[in-house]
Amino acid sequence: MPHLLGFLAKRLFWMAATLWVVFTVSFFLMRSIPGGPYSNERNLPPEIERKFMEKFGLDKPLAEQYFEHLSRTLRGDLGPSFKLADYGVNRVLAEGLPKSAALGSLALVFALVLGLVAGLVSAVRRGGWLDHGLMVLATVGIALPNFVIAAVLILIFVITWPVLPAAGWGGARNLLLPAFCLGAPFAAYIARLTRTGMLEVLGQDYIRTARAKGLSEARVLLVHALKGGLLPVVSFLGPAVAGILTGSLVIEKIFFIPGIGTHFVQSALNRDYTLAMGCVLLYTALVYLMNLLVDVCYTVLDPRVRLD
Amino acid sequence: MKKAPLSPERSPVLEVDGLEVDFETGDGRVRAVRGLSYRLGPGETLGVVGESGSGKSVTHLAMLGLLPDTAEVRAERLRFQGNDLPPAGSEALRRLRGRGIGMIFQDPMTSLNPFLTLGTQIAEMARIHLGLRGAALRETVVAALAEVGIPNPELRIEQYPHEFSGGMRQRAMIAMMLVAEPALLFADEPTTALDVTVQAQILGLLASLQERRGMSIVLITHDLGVVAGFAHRILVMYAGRVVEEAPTPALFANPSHPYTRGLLRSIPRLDEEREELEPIPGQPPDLLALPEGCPFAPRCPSVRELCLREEPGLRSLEDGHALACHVDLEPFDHEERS
Repeated sequence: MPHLLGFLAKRLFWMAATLWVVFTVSFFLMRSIPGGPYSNERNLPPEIERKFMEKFGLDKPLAEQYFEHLSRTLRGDLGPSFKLADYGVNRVLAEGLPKSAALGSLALVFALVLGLVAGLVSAVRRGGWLDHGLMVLATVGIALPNFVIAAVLILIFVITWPVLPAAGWGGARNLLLPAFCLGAPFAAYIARLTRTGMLEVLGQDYIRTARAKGLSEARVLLVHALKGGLLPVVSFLGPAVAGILTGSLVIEKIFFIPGIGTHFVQSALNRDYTLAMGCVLLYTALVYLMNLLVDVCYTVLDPRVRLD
Repeated sequence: MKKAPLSPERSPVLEVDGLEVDFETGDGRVRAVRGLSYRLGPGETLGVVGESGSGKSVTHLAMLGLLPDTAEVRAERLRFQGNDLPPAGSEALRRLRGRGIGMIFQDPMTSLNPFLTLGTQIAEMARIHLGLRGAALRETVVAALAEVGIPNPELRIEQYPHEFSGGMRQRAMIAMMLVAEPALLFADEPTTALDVTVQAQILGLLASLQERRGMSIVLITHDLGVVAGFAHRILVMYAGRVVEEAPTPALFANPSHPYTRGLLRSIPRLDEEREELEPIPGQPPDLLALPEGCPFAPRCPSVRELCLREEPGLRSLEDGHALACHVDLEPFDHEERS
């Protein structure tokens, strides 16, 4: 246990260092792009624009802005949004993230259940029509943009056979369609990874041993093959979970979900420096934490792997 | 050399008649085993010797239904303890595996599951075949490890295969495969991946377990040296067929097939001052395109014209010695070996 704590402390230190590097690079990158938060609105009178710049400290020297932004961030305040009047970045993220995360979690459940089952069935029925059918479906799932899937599903489940609401944020029923659309490409990817991983493991000597022992085929698959076969999926899940929880611009636009996926894109286009920085830091931290979780999972799944 | 316990009035444990195994591959049909027959008595040890591709492993994997779907297995007769072996893929054959016939494999590193503790891997056999649960199950697993000479079995059952040395892993594999007390054990190159000193220990362990339980063993190996002190009878295989079969003393006293003689000559000996080993020239035959006549003919030092036309059948010599060769060689000269 002290081993695990030491490992976590070390990794958290590196996470802080990574966040600082990401902060610094993002800060200067954003300001080196032409334009600013108020340069788009043509008819903004110059003195009003100057007032805005003064209010948010954008008229100060760059170094001063950097240290101000950094020290404020270290105190846990991501600053005011330049564009969403009267909203702090903290509040924007705090209100949007739970919605995106709820949608993402459901999408993840879809992706895992569909992907794992399809991958397992494919591996067991290797070369059969079921295998071919599922893998064609998986390729389609990866290749089709999710706004196409969304349009088809809305046509079926909202218009032709009205069982689900078309859009909006409300109960769990509102989440079903967008979660499925968001999860579909992940399901397809997980199916392919599961199939490949299982086929690799099913060719191993120890599977032949398991069969020689007289175990049932179900036990061979689920007890002897599954752990090893799922390792590639676990690796993939780290970055995938971070991506899926932070929402999607396309899905949130189509289904009117007030999540944070929209902000990831809009804040950068708007030169909303503070909000964009908040999104970048949030995403970095999530990716880092998920990969940490993957590493810990690995040591649980594979006894030969140790922390560090 | 141990005395063969084989007595004709006791019914054989295993009867194999006319076993054939083909593999359908992209390049054509591979004829891996072509009409193999043998009998194995209770408590008997049979050594099956041959090089890679001779069909010695495939034969035994086929009987247990452990070959991939591309294999096609036919036989006139396959009987275990007087009953026909159930067909591959059947539930009956699955239940027989591990309970009636056990099998251990060459490399205990890759043949044990790296993701599961040894305790788990042994316990599942005892649970499925013996129906044990709880404390009785645990006791059986610990006793199984103790029986094969693994120290601290109570601690070892919690460990994973990578925490064992090669020899200890093979001991654990033996403990696992014998926990349901099968009447017959197929041992496929059980010592090949091990150090020589460990090899001797493992063979000694198998011999003592066999004595205690009275089980029959088929020892599959490429190494005549391994079967010499262990098997009652030896079957030499080449290109999917038996080329010579004899009780162990008779085979070593008078090896009669040119291939068997080649195998004996290629074993290094300590009592000779030779710089180089004597290999058998040429390559093993291509099973996709076997030549007409004897498959060993292209490598045979005693080849006759007849050998290139006609494949010899198995004929009996004296004292249970059988041979598949057209040529009657001079008695084997044990001193002058070339």
